[in-house]
Amino acid sequence: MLFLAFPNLAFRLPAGAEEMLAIRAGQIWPGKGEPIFHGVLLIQEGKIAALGTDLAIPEGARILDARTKVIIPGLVDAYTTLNQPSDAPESITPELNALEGFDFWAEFPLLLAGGVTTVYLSPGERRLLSGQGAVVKLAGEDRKARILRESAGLRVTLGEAPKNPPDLFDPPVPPSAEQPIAPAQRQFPTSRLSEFSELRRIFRIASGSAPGPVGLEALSPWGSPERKRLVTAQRIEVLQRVLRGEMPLRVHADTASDIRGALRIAAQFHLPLVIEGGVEAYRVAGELARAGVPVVVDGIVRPGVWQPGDYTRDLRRGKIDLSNAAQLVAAGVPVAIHAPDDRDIPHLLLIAGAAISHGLSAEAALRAVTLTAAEILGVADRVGSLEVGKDADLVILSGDPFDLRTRVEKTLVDGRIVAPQEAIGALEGEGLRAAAEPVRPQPLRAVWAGRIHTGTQGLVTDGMILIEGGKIQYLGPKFPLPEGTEVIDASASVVIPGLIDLHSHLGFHADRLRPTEVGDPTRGEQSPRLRLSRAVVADDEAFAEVRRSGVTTVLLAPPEAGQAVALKLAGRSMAEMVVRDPAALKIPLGSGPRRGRIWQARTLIQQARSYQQQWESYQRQRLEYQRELARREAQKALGFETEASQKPLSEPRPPRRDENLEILGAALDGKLPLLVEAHRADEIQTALRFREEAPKVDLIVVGAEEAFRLIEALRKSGVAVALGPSVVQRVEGQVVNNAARLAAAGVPVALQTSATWGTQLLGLSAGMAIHYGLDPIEALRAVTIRPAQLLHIDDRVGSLEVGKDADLVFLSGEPFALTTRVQRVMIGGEVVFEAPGP
Amino acid sequence: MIQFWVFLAVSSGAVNEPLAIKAGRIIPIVGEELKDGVILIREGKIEALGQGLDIPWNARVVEAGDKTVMPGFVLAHTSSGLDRPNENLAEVPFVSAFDALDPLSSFYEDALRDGITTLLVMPGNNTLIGGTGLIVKPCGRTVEEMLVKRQAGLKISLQPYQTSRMGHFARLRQAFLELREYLRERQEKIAEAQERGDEAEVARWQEIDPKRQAMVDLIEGRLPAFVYCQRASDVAWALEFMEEQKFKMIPVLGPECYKAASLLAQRGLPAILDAQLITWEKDEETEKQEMRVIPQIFYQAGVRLAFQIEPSAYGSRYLWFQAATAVKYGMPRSEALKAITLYPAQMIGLGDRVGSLEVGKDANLLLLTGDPLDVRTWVDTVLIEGQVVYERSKDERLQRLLTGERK
Repeated sequence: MLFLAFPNLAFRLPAGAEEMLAIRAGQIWPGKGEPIFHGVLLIQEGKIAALGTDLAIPEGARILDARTKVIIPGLVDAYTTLNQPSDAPESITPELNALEGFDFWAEFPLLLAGGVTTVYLSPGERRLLSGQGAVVKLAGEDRKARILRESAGLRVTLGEAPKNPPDLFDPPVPPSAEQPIAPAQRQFPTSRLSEFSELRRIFRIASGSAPGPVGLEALSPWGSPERKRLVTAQRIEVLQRVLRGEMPLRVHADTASDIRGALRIAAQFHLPLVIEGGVEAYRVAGELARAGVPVVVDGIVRPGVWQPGDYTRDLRRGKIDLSNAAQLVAAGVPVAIHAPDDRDIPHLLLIAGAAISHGLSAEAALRAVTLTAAEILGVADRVGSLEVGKDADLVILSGDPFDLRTRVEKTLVDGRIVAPQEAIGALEGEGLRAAAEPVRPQPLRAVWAGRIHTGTQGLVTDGMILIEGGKIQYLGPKFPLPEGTEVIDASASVVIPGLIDLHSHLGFHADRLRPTEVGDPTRGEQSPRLRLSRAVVADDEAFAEVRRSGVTTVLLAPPEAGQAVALKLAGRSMAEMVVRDPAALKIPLGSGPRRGRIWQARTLIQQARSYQQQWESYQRQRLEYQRELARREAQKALGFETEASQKPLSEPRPPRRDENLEILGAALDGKLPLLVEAHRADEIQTALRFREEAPKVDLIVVGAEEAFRLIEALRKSGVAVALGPSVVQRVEGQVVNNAARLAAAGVPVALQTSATWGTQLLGLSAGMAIHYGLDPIEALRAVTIRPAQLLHIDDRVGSLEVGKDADLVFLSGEPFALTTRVQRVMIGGEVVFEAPGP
Repeated sequence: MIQFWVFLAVSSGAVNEPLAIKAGRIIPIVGEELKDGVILIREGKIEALGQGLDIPWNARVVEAGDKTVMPGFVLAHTSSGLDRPNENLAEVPFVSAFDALDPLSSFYEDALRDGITTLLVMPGNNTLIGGTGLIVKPCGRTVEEMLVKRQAGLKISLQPYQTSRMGHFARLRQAFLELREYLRERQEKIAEAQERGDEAEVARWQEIDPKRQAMVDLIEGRLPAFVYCQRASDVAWALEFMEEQKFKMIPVLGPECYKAASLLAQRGLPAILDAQLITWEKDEETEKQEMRVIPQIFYQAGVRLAFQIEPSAYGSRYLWFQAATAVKYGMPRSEALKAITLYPAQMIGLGDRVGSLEVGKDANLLLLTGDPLDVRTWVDTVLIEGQVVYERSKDERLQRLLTGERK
């Protein structure tokens, strides 16, 4: 048989690429045996050259630092239809091969980004015997080398699908007396019974114990007997390869009775057998184990996808039991798990993980999509586990393989990064190289914590956080670390993200004011163009005071109008402390009669709008002027000046620049969040007017004591509310918890203090809200991720996630509890406060 | 079509009279462009071409000082102008487009009007082995009058037809195996009969089964295959198969095949591109649309190209438009002009007869009112084998179209 070969396309390595790649790994799950902790994996020429804990990294090797990561073998999906098999009209076509439908030029970025590197291609789905399956890698330059096995199994389908294939019409050209036009021929199987009888018939023929053609005679345009002989011979040759045990029969069977039927036929003809699908395999687990027949189990679950059908009693596919894989493994059957649909292949690890909750061990779940899958496919000499000599196909995970928070960070095939897209080629450049002197890697800091409230990804108990370069690199279960790693053992503590105050005046001490360049920030020039970042100093003593309370980030806002800056409360310089500048524009609604304030809001908007229009109109005029100028030049050059072109041309004048209106315009266009301080209901209504007049505005109402009166209006307008410092109101003898009511209505709620020294009482505001009924989780979010999101700084702060800043608060108990003390505060991975004593 | 045979009748009396065209500009495709040159035509062939040639005393002189003269366009592959492009059965190497060609199809009239003087008409792509194609010129009342070459290539299509892709490929392979089996058996039978001295039997076996003739011609190198590939992996498969079975192949490519450009370049094979020259592809991960300019990709890979046309589409129905599109995206002008003249001529096996203005070649030429890639240019006069077969001033249909007058 001829298969795709691509001569002259031999994989050319770029110069120098044949040198070694060393991966320093936090954990290596080799797929076989115990995990290796803080190990090293050496890769040369696309193969694993060595792996272990005490390996020296050779000089000149490129280094991939994954000290905080988990490495698993590239995933193997033991059943896919990525070759898009359509069914041939004939019922029995053993000579067909799935490889010939596979497009080697197709790209699979999503599958590779899900960690899947090797797949089995099925030759068809709706014919009794549709052909041979093949195993390929999903990436690689040399397309021939991507074929791991050309003939990995002969597919047989039992059940409903193969019944009643189309009739075959085979007109001879031209017809003659010897070869008349025959009517269309009926094909088998027409019932489940004839599925088995057909299979027995063809294997009897192939084993030489019965004469006759295989299936129906081949389609032939002029009914040539030569063609029929030739095709029959081809078919028998393939069947004999199965009889000789060179490839297994892969029987797609779901019900227990079909699986038993397959076992009987395999026993009768001594055929190697693999069961595919196997929905009811758990019912015949013992028989499968005794016969040594592996099962490629349909993963059934489709994460996040509507699952139609009722398999509690559907007899066609059998009765689904989600513990199928677990029961089979317990009985000693080798099990691979495949994604139920090609669209689910990126979630293969998740699908295997779903079996863990039904009794499968984590180790067996991983094997079912790595080593066992590779063994069933007959490609375990190349892929499926991380062993010396095997292909360097591996996946770098951010954490434990079956932790829901875990992401695939990089996928490597043959030692080259193939996903995600932005990382491809990352190792080709200079990068980090091992020198004669061992490179001193960036210090790694580990935190062991009893409980970790991540803020966005739930609670982790007895977990570990690894910090490198001020960022969180790993968050998940503990694993052993290399010697010399600095460990903060907080196994008795609760760790939460650093708190964020959405509106604070920290650092402006009214009593110790010095005149500065921009004037008195609390009393001076009150205008939007005021930039607070110019008015604060890095080592303000109030900062140290406040961070002891667990507040690590504040939005410093002026008491009146001006631009606010999002600031970390520690850092060597202002530049290091600033998270975003400006992070918001603040407009206070002045006190006074109500009509005056409405007028004020409207006037501001109108001014900003008319200012924008003036500039737009100026820009249009200027463009017109430049065009006219160019036209006149051209006319002059060609020598036909007209009377009109003699008229003097006046250059348009730019309108007067007004920084205040410019910034206000930007905020109204939604380019900068707009903080409007409003307390009473009528003031809040005025604030909402900004939203009505400028629908794009990113509006946050600050203060909002009477927000409970306007819950519906707030919800409808989609604005956010920063409550505080008084979160709870007493109205007509009743306690009203603004935070709880707004949160219940779905209004985004953050807390704020509007204070200098009082910023350290942010936690108490949250505690107060909890005291009057707010969900503690919601309270934590209101001082962490919510303000971060509202200020668009949630890419760095607001929650504990891999890739974010390591701003951690260590507590002696649950957050906001009155008995809880702050034990330690970390900003950007550095401890900035450590409570004395135990 | 009436106009064509009128022209033929008018000019047929003067076959042996030499013709001299004094052209303002000559684009010979091979060699430098000429200003104010003369092309001498005798007996349908180009006898001489250059500047300041002596014009024979008896020559009919065409004053075309304001015209640009270039070789007629060559269309390397089309299935238009056929009664039906494909047979219902997948494997019909014994049929010929000759029998399906409709001389009165407006396709040929348009082709001539648009400057095409040579076309390879092939069975369509919905087939496996679809039959043979023929080369025609777009003038004449009958297929015989139009005919240039009767058997010009065998159509093979790798686009699955009535089965799965793997079934399609397997069947093609089986067809070749069977053919080899037939030839082996024939050889044996002839040898046996010769031993016996049975002359009648020898003669019977020596005659090739007419149903298999085209396939035998293919594997014995007398007939090239025009292989339609739908996607890049089909190109790889076709090349592998061609090398195994040792036949001559001209790839006819679908728009997706650009990914395999380097495979063709490595083997020095040319490519006939799909009429659609630009495709947009969505990146699965980023969901961004990316533009692919197919002729530019092939040009940069170093593959000689020919363009196809889509007669029902605006723009891409003209060969010159296809060339202009390629130039717009970076292909050098000379290369783009070759892709509508010399390269397709070579691909269809007429490289020594048409596709350029060289001494000894057929006098198939166009008198254009301006530059061939300029949208304002008209085909003013077309000569095929030295005969004027089209004149714009006498093109009644075009005039009706432009003036809106109805007779």
